[in-house]
Amino acid sequence: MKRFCLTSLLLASASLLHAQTPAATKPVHAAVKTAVPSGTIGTLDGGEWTTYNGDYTGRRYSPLTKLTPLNVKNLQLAWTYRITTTTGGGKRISSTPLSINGVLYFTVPSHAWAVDARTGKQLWQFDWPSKGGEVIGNRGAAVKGNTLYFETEDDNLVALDTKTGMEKWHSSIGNRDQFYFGSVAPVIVGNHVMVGMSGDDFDIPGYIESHNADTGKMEWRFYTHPDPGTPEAKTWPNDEAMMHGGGMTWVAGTYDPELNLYYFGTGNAQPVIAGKSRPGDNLYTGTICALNPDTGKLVWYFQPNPHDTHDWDAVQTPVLIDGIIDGKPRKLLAQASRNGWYFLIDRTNGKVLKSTPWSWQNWTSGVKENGQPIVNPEKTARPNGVIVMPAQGGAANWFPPSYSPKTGLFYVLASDSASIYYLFDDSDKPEGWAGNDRFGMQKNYLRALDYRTGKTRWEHLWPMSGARSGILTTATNLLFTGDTTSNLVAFNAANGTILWHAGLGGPATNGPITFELDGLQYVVIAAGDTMYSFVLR
Amino acid sequence: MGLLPLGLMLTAAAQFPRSITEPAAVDRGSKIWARDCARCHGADAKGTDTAPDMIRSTMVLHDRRENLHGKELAPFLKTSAPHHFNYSDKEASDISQFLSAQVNKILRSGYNDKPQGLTSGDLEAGKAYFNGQGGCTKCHSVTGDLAGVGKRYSPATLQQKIVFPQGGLGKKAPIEVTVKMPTGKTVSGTLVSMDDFTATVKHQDGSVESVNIVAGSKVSVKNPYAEHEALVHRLTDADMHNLTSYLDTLQ
Repeated sequence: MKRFCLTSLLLASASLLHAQTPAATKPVHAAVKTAVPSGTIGTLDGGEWTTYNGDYTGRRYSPLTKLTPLNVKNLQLAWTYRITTTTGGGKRISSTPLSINGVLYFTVPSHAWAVDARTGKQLWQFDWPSKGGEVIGNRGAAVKGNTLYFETEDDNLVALDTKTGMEKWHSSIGNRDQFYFGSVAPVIVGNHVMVGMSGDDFDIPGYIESHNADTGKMEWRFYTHPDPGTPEAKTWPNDEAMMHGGGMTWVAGTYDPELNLYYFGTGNAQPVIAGKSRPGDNLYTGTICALNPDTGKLVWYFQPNPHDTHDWDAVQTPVLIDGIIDGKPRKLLAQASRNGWYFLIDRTNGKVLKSTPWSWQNWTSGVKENGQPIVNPEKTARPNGVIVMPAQGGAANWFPPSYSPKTGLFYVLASDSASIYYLFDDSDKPEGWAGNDRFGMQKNYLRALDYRTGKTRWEHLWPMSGARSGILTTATNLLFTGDTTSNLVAFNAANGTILWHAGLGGPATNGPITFELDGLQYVVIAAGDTMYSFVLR
Repeated sequence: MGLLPLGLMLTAAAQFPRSITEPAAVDRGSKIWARDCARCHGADAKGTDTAPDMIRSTMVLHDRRENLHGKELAPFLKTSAPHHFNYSDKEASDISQFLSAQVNKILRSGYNDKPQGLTSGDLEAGKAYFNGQGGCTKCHSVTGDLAGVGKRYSPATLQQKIVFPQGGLGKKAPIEVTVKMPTGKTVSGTLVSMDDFTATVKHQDGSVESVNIVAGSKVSVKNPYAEHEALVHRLTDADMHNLTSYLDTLQ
């Protein structure tokens, strides 16, 4: 129910709802009672939430139907669980919990928990003796069989027994001395644990690596820069700049089992604000990569953010969409990128079908034939300041978006924003940050984009700007997200009408999930140090 | 409705707490560095054509991260050609402190750094923009509210207040909110916080009142920054620099 009109919403009508052909080879999600092995990775089968994004597509769209726009008002608090331990960084749960076989698994830097999903009672807590690192957050765990995997800020992949929380093994994933740190939720693909890497305070190359799920042994590492001497290496002035060029893999990727491709985005180039010592597009920074998970070999790439000088990584979840373009079923990938541009890509080959701004942006002077925005050099930082849109925090950030095949809409929390970028080191050899943005303004929206065109179908302007969180949609056209203050809000996904809300202790800090147990549908979200579980009884 | 400002933008907190260095030791280390090391590795330790960048040296970074104070650097510098420096523990610690400080300098901060050249714009163009196309005189006067503004604020603060007066630090203009409930009851005051469901306002006597925004409520917001929010889309970088330069002259 919309209480008052804050902005003229372009309300979607029911006629917008178009049935979509489900993926040709995968049946529509079976009813929850299907006897599937619990924890069937990368699926939502059995009403579970088995991987960071629920399933491999990154859609965060649940087939569950118990909760509907009509009964969502009856959603009630089932339990809360508060963490009391963390390793610096504030007690902030930014992890997306997994729900497998009646147990929720989630993390904060250096700690992991198993909690009974029915009662909220702790089953175990694991504390990693951290040697220190950046504790900006931990996005969650992966589970395969009876093993849980998570990254620590001091660069270890830790494997635990899901039943006891006891360590099975740990494996090094990076060098703390060089400012690498772990924060990303690992993703299981086959017997690989895909591990992303964080850290952009120092000029180091990004990478993604695979570890054997049984032994922890590293199988391959893919650096997010080209091999010296290849055509792509010409997007750097020299190998020294390229080998210190950044491109971190901050966010868990998505996976297409048929194509056997793992998709992920890479972070900003380094030095962050000063691009003087690295003229060129700086591949593979600010790039969406498609990788063969068995070999770690790059199959295709597309760079949404060439020669970044604004700290805009292109790591936002590359959401896999099986859509109809010109009457033909197509395997697609969509990203609402931090730089304010929306991209729709053929995920078989990386060809861009749509490339368009989806939020305030003033840093481009056009678009190339291949869909890449063209950088306007006038909008790179200067010692006396340049007004740039979006601000450094980005039009989007790490917060998980959602796509509903029911509505055909791509949902993202938008920050229409601006700030002033300053260059602090205009020498020929800048290092590290060498500049920053300051001040600024933002308007926060929940925005629903037509996945084919990137155009806004409807949006909800939050009355005050503030926090962002993740988004969840369901098969009954429900959308759950946190608002900018401290509420979990349910919307009608078709038209943006608010249906229900519940006050949390603070702003939501992760992406909400839904799962089903004993025929009851739950919705779980975290706000700060507390996990809130709601259920329809 | 216009944008309601957030007290502070998403200010990127400096990542990786800096390894603490002691200024006196850094200073002593810098002298040893200048004497023995700068010739090859550069005065700033970023390397030259003849010797590598020490800020990117894994040995230096390990020394910094583990707070080794030169314990591993000293033996290396003693035996590895072309160095052969026989430093005391204290000297090695001082060099380590200098290098750690150099590493710290390049990390995300921006807050020890200063924007430069903020008043290098065109004064006359700034004045013309202020009085003309900028529309500034609709609300401001250089002999009224802005008299002496150049003395009150640094150029950096001036620039911020021109473009984003609703952000950053310092006093903000109050945002007036009125919630008219279907019963006819009206709650109004200065905005404290608001979402789709409740509004909290402050009254002149300092008391705070909240109200539920029930169905049929009418919410109105008087945003004192609406003009500036529109301006950000029109203002060119040159306009911003010219305006900053002009307002800085109002001493």
